[in-house]
Amino acid sequence: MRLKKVLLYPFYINSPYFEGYAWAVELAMRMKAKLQLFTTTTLSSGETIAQDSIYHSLLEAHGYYLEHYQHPGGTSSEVTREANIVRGELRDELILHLKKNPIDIVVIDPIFLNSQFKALREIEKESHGMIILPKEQQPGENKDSQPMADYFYDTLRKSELYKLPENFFSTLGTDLSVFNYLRNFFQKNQSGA
Amino acid sequence: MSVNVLSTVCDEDLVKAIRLDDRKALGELYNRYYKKVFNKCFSFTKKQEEAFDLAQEALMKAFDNIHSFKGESSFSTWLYTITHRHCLAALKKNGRFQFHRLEENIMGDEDKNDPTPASEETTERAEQELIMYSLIKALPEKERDLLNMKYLHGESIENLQQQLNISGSAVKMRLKRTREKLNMLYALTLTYGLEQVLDQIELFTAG
Repeated sequence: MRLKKVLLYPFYINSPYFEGYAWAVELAMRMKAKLQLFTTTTLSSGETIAQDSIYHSLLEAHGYYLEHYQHPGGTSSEVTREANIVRGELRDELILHLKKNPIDIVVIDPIFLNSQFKALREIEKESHGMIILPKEQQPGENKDSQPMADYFYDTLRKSELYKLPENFFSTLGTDLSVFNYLRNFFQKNQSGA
Repeated sequence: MSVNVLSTVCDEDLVKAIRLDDRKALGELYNRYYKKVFNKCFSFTKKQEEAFDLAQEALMKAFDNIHSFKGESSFSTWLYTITHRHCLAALKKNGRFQFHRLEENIMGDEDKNDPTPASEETTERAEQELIMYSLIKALPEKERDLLNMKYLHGESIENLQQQLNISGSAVKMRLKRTREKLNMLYALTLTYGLEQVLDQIELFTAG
């Protein structure tokens, strides 16, 4: 039995993925979950990239998180980040990975979605939950001008949520005021749908 | 501070700015070092995946505790020390760091009647052990096997004599030369750094 929830964030290394990465780290931190970072050495253009470049990029992405997301005095060291770097076509490898490894929530970046729209149904099928981040989210947008919790929940509110576990909201951090607001918001949306 | 200005600011001033919750300063300082930390971890592990895990942990350890940086050394020294110790601890935890007895025995062969008091701090000792471990690992196979057989597995000279099919004095001579070589490499490491010395060994071995 797994004690920790597992989130997965797939990305192409040659696309601007830092924003989605940072949000996924923030979600993992609030859920006290483990975050799997999934990519391939094969770029969307078909070329290949050396593994160390991917590791460097992931470390750089975390610098972006520290600069733009982590609240002063906060810590992200409790978030276990695990890099899964595979060879081959990202879509096929991702589906294969999801079939073999139970993932609680897959966080999908809209940039990733552009090239993998057809895979969406399969990703949803093979995971226990899926969050598609909003398209209008832009690097740097709003983050520095509002409290991070607001920005985080604002992004969550604009995201598309699929099959999320029943206890998703109750595991989401300790910010009860935002949590209550969001739960009501989503319940209203679900009943209206 | 603006991004353009930040690139000209020294590490220690960036730390001061970070203490005042300057997030851009945090980003700048982190970006200066994450690759170096990864490379340092890789020099220990020789595996990129492990190096990544260790690098992200070491970076977090340092940046989460940046307020404890007192400025007694440069920031880079402080960060590398954290990285170094983190790598050591991880290697020990994974059981890949088991040459504790070897170093004692190497010294002990010549100095059995001259016990040196264990006065150094545990961490310093651990660092020495890691250097020794890395150097032994980089030695040519014959020399490495000989040291492993003698000091790790505790084989007697007689046993080595039989296994290697050479005389007892030849075994002792080989051990002596290997230890001397190791000592020399150790001294070079203290002067030039482990990474440099390992690179040189690799070059010579490849040649």
